[in-house]
Amino acid sequence: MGPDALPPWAGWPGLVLRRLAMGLLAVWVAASLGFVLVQAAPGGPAVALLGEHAAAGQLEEVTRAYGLDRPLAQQYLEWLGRLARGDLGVSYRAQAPVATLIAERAPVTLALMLPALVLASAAGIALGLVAADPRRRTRWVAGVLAGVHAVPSYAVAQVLVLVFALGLGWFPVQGLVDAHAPGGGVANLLEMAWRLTLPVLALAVLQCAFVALLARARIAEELRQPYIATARAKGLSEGAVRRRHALANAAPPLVTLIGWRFGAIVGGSVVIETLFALPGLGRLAVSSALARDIPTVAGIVVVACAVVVLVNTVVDLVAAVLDPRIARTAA
Amino acid sequence: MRWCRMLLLTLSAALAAGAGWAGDAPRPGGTAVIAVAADPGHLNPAISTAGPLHAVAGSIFNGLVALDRQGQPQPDLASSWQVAPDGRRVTFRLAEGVRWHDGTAFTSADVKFGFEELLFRFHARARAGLAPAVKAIETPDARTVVFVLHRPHPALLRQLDVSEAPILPRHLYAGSDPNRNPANLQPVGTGPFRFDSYRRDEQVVLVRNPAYFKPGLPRLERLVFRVLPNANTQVNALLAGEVDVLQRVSALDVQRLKGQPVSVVDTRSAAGGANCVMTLAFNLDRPRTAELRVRQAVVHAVDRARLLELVAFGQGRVASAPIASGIAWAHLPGALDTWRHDPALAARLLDDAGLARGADGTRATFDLLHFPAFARYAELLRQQLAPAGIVLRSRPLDAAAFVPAVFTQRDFDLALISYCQGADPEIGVRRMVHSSAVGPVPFSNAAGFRDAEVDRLFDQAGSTVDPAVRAEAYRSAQRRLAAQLPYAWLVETDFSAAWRDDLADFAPWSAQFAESAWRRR
Amino acid sequence: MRPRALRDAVTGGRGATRRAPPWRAAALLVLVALLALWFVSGGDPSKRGMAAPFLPPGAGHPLGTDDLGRDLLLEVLRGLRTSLAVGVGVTTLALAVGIAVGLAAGLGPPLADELLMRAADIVASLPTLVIAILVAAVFGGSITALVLVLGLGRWPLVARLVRVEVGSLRGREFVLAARALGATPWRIGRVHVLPHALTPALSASGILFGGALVSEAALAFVGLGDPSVTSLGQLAANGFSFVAHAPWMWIAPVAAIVALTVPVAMLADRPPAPDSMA
Repeated sequence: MGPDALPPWAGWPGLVLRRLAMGLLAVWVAASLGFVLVQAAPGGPAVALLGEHAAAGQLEEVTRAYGLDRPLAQQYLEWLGRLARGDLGVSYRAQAPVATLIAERAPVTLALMLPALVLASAAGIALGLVAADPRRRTRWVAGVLAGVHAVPSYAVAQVLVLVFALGLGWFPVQGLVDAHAPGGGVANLLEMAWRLTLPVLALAVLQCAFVALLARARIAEELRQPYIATARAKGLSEGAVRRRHALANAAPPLVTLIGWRFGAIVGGSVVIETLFALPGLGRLAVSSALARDIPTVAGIVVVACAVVVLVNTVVDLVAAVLDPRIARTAA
Repeated sequence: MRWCRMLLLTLSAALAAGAGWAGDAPRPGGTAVIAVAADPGHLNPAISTAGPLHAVAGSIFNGLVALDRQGQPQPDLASSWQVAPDGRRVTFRLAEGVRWHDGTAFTSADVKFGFEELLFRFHARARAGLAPAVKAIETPDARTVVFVLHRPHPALLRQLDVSEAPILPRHLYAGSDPNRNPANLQPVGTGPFRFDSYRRDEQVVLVRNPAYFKPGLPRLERLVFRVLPNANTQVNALLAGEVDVLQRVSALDVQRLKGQPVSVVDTRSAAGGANCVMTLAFNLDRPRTAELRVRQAVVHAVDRARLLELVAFGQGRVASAPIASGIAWAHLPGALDTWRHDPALAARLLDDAGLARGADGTRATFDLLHFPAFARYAELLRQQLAPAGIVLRSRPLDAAAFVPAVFTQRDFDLALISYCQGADPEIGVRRMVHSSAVGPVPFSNAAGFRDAEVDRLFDQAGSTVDPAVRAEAYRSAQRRLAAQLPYAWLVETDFSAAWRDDLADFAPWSAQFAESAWRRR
Repeated sequence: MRPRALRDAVTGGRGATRRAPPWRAAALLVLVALLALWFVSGGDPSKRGMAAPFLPPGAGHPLGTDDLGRDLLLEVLRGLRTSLAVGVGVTTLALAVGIAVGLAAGLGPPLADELLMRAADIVASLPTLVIAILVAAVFGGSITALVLVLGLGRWPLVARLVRVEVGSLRGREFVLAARALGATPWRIGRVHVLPHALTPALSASGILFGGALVSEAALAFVGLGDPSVTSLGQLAANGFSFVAHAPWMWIAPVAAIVALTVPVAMLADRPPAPDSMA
């Protein structure tokens, strides 16, 4: 084969298909996990749905209604089938379909996570650039970053609340909407954005430190390459060298790595939402888990996995745009 | 004389206007935001006695009567009532012009249905304390309800308010399973506020009922119940003005509210219960706890004053009798004085009972069941019983699991229960100690106590209206209960409610706290 | 993605010739001190909680007392024990599975390599913390279940590192020589490759440990922890309720968590793996 002849599974369509296939597999694993955990619950799946000390009559009723006495394989296939149709089951506690509960909360969580990701990435890359200076005087920045990224997110959040909400009074303490005056329209959106500032900051600070460390490593690595010396010899300023060459070349894998952080942000939002009383998916997961509302939590697992997979796919595609070699080689 | 009258009119108008400026006259409109500690789950207060649910749903419904701050019955859905001379028939005349929020007319059939099909079957206190006394409910016409009793029931009127016996619409609940009825999540009541929206774990919004049968009420336009489980967040939100009312504030947080534009009221009653006593129930069906000396040892090992100080931050009193001090005429002061904190005596009693110390110093291990909210009591009890050699295994269970475990399966050694005794021992004490109340009804006789003498005394007190006879019967019963020790009455808990000074005429001792409230600003 | 880029991104490049930064020694000291506390902690259980509540730090109670009169230092030490146990458990599990998979993928037939690495990709894209919430809901917050979930969710990182290292070792002379001498892949893996492959795997242990701690604390903080053990996250949550009256009740457990995770992160002195601390 000549150098330009590609195997059929390479190239752009191949990349997209590969990523999607992997994503579907991941979601299937998550869904199967959910099924297995409900079946494996101590006391049986009916107890998982209703709780430890439910009356015997109720347990029988639920067993009949959900077909829990049918063979496992059949139940599993039905579960997958329902998932494919978008039916995530019914929450007994809320007397509502899980998919509805999730759809109500998802926008809040996305409004929290996406800005946090963007903010963290931008600030992190900037910090990483600064810290990647091969000259010794910025080494301490790396030390600080290493320290910051190990602080638990709720500690950061609580400090932010203490200082900015209670201390300075610039931001509210809780909630997404002002209970006194629920307006509508654009003013409402602005209000919500203001109320989301502290939570987004809390989430972003940690992730920023992470991204900065990643960026620093990648950029420092690039700066060791021979072509940098060439660029410097050409007379480019240090800053231009770093930005135009090192960063540009570090970008594709960095973007992919940042995409992987999204999974961590999903986890971090759980604590932040609970602290700030935001009506998002993280808080729904926690309150459902505390009430032993298993179907809702299992549904959230599947949805969270799907979202993480989607973001990773998008990020991989962006990286491939930045570095076409990725599409050409088999990953 | 015309100018005289004109002068008077002008003067009074000026006075009225001045009063309006000073903000002393109630004004309509405004929103009040109330923090609740837990999501209510659903909004049907007839089938559950859970506190958070009643805190929210109380404003949507009414009872036949309303209880004022002194616990005296006032007209609510019933505008007047008459007790027959033999005490066995109580006739209620219902108010005029009452409509359900969906426009349907309210009639006596709603009352009869509500008691027979809902309250007597599902509401813990109504089922245990009221149902046994009621022989039948008659509805001779649409405006009249007659309660026919087996015997004179002196506490009847106090068991008919919106917390003890809320009235629900027959046209929405007849023929359905009350536990699954969609009206539980979109309630229709007769109360001052109508249901608007319910976002689970977030908030419940109620709006003013313009057709409320009490003229001029309610004054507020909206009630918003915000779910804020963390007490610290609640106080912060109150201080920041994001929330107007906290229904329960710990004594510790009351300190933080000093000097702020916030009013604090201490009360023994709140939505969902009055005269509440934190009680330790012994399972008398189990051999070890059936032994009196073991129960006495537990009582002497516990330091109740410390419990009050550390868990309730001094808000309340150590229980000095099985009947709460809030029911002053029946309360026997000093009945529990022999229950002093004496670890050495506890150890001796356990030795006598045959529970010697093992090699590792422990004599026995007991399972203690309790709501997660009472975890701090459980932790302190564990600490206090450990030196005596008793190991307490704490098992927190939420309401849905606790009730079957304790009352149906009786799978416990000790259980921590906050028994709210109400305004009369017939309401909340009888169901704890009478042998007929042993059974699967939630929050009935958890200990499984059966004593013929106590039964006789309570039957006597419950079948007469003579206060002296009743008081004497209850006093004798308390002496016997103190000696028999089916329960360890620990501390009487009070509540503090706090609200911002912007709100006036607030009534936190009742579930209908916002009926007359209004905003100054 | 390209193996070299991945490895370098995670291990910070072939920087073995860099001078170790001065804070590594300090971090090591702190960690050793904390581990030493493991043997000191405990105290007399029968005396637990007999002091006055809300005492500020002072003589007799170096960290003060909590709302139920318990000595905060003892509580924090108890919490540290839990955190250490969880950290060690998760790290060990993830290392064991990750090394095994990485070796098998690197030394085995190409099909096994492809399948195992794809499996690693799939597991890596699962939201571990949310799954831990589900497990906590089903098994009542049991700490054993939590360690299992976190460990089984984190092995892909280790597997990838090991695979990359093994891949570069495969072509080396000593391996080829061993093959020529007739050694089975099993023996090659165990004797020749494993020692070299351990290095990158162990470099990830700091990240695994720190991530496990933070996850356990986060779950305990929201109330999904194990009610029968004391956890730093639970102490931090309880402390926050009383932060206006007794700030030390909050500062102490949070400082303890930070004191555990920061030196560990600094010791690794490498940028963290991108998919850790989920």
